[in-house]
Amino acid sequence: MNTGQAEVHPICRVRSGLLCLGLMLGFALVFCRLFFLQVLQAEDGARQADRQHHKTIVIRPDRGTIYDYRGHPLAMNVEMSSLIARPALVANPKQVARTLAPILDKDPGRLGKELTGNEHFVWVQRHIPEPLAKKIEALNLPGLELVKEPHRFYPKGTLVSHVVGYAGIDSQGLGGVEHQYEPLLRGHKNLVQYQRDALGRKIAQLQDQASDRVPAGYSLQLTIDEVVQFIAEEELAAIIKKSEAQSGSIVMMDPMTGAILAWALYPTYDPNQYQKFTDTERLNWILTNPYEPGSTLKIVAAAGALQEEVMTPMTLIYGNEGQMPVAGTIVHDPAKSSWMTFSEALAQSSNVGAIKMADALGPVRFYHYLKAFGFGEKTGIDLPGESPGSLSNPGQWSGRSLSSIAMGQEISVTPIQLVRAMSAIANGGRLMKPHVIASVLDQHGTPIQVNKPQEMKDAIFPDTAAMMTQILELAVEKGTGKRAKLEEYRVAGKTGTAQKFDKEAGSYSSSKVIVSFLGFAPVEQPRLTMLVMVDEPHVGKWGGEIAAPVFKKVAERVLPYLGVLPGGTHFIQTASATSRADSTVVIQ
Amino acid sequence: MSLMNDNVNRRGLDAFDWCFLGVILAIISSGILSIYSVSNTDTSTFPVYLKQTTWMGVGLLAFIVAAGIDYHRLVRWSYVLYGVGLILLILVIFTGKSSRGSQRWIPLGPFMMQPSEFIKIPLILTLAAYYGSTSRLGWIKRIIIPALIVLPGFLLILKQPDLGSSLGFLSIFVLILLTVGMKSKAFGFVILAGLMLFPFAWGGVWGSLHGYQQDRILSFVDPSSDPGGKGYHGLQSRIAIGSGQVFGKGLHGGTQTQFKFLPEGHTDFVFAVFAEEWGFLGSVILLALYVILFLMGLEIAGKTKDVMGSLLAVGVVAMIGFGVIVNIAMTSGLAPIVGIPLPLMSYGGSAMVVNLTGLGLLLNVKRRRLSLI
Repeated sequence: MNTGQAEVHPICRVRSGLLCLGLMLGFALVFCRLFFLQVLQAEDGARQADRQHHKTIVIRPDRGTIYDYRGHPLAMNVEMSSLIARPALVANPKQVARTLAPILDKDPGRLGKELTGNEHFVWVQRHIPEPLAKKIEALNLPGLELVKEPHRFYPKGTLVSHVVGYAGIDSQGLGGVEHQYEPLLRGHKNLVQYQRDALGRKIAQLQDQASDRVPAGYSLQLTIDEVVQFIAEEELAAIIKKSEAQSGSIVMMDPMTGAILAWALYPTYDPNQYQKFTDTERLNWILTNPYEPGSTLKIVAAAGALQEEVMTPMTLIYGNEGQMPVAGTIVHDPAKSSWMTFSEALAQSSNVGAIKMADALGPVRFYHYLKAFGFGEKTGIDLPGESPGSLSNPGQWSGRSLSSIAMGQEISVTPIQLVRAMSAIANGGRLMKPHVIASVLDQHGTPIQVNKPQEMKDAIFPDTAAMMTQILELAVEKGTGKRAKLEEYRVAGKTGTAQKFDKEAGSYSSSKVIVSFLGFAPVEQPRLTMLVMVDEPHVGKWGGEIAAPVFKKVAERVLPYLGVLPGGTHFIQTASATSRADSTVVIQ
Repeated sequence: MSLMNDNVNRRGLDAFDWCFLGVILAIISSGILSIYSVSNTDTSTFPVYLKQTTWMGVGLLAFIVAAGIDYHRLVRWSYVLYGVGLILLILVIFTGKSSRGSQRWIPLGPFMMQPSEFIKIPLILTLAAYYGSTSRLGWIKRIIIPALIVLPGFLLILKQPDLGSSLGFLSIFVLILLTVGMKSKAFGFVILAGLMLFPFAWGGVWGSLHGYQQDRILSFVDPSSDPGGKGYHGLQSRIAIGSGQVFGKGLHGGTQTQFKFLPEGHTDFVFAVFAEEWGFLGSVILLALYVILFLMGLEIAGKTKDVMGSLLAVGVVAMIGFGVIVNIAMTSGLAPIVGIPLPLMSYGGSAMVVNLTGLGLLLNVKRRRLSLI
């Protein structure tokens, strides 16, 4: 250990060798680490890096607008403010909560909790009315931010809401056309990939992504004119009030094309505040809940009997003096009669008559006509939730079934099925496919797809339809539907009074009824088929006395509006009539 | 002493010297390239890579001076220089400019001087002078007294606070002490191995701590080490290195560093930038350059008959070697992030001048040892 001034002790060399060894060891470890990171785990690193700087954002185009037939918007987008909070940046959550709570009408305690959470970002309140948003903006609270969001707005409120439907908080269609045509309304989503830096700034778009691709969803033009719809809703509300009924509906269709002209339900709901209504209130029940139609269904047995030539309009039918035993029970007729013609039987809505018509046809042929008129199957209307109704086949019928179905019991149908069946009589026997969308428009308002009338099948021959029309006009002129008679237009139609089946009593109730009137006008060249239905009226209990007058009131307001001249044979070529023919719309 | 004073090798540079210089310039160039790559958005008239190039020039001047003046003369001034260094460190406390919670710099006109870097050279000289002038026997003379010399510098740097630099400072002392020798070779070896393994061992212990404990300890010792918190630097650095894969992404191709996911790409994390753009292949070549540099340094140390020169060489190798290994270990996630720049590559004028001065001293020792044979 005697280290001299000028000599290097051997230990020194050994130790610098050790230093060398130590250094090399360190380098070896670092080398291994790099090998691990850059070779063995390289994919991992690359993937993590990719995830950080490749960001794919979905650009949602503006949701399409829903217009009425004349181009008035029924569903559109407005920008609304939503309040978001970044809890980490909120300086004094409790105080902020106390300030905000009264403005947003929220509980301060809960609001305070939201503002102190661990989340990076929370929605405090979405879609805040503008005045409140301004107030919040003026407070200028750190950590809170107002962002603009598209919000679905229904300018006409409750009008035609069961057809238009409603959209949720993220503008996703939840009911009606909004739901049925969701993909079209939403448009193609645009995926844009870009590279971003650590601050989230956009650096570059990756691919050559066409940014002009569908910047908006497709718009829809309904077949429903808001004026016609308004008339229907107004008259419906009036009769419900007058008759102290529970609910009711009016469905109006163009018998020639299958285009729905009005679709009124009572009670209705406001899609702007859809959360405040129950599911039942929002339900398009005339499509989803079939019912036993009663006498309106008698047209099927009658049309079948005429077409099969088992009877003619002049065939005499014995009315059994208003009583007929059927499978152990007795069927009554309100108007006791002995002999009547086929026409009179239908016009007076004789149960005995209807049963005898069906009897003459027999179960197989009767069933055939029920199917030919489209009962027991969906109409294919472009609205969600349609029920096919229920119609069992003749093999399963009991001894009573034929008679019951002839009178409109033991079968459940939807109003749109009835309207379609009646339209077939109106238009010469063709069963049309009902639809609520007239055309699909691109963002410039140019129609890219126009719904043409679509015939499903021939229900009956044209001459059968003509005979039926005559008889049904008689029903309005002299029969049960007298109150549907118009002064200036000829009307054909059929009343219906269906006793509701009382599940508790296990029999048909005499007090709870669904009354209806199903008809079309003008007879010469039918422009509308309409079903008026009132559920459980407390004042009055016959279709002819409650529903028929509504048909009259609606038709006498709607027909002139549609440009149908009194007498019905001539049309005024108004601008609106022309536009209907061309299926073009002026979008406002 | 007088015998050696004039024994200067007057010959020009030999192959060894050229190779030595070549390796140094290659490493510095890789650094400048990486700094250029991350600072390409820097549109100022004097971007940071040009600054670094300038510092390289200044450093090379210092290198020539350090290689030219006989180190025996320099060693005579070592205590004075060390004293000046300590005074500067004290000055930092009073007039220093603070950045991100620690006070490390003395403003010097347009520049910022970092005394904790500069004092490393006087420390090496002082230790070489202390152990080289006479034989120091007994544990008091051999350990305690030099420890007392080192302690004020260490504490002053730690107080700034600058954990990385203070550890670097301490490592020079420990490595020189080990070289000079303690009682048992085995003991020395264990310590040596322990020191070299220290970062990795620390990593193990460190990893077993809870995140918040780590955060607390680190932010207590060195608040600037991880300003983003929660291991952001370390994670981003690992991702950058890993995503470079085998062949790298090429100049300006490093998305992690280009897009500023990795902060401090031009200073402490310059290796991650290099590794992302040049891949495993580039990293291995860079590591090889450093290894060659150290082997050359250790060869100089080993072949020098003069204790003082040998210790000088060991000190310089220790200074740079510690920095390289700890920096890469920390960048690649093997060691906690303590804020040690990568010698010769990280941006920084003080470090560049000091490291080149040290390497100049190495060459100085080598050129004078030949004349003795």
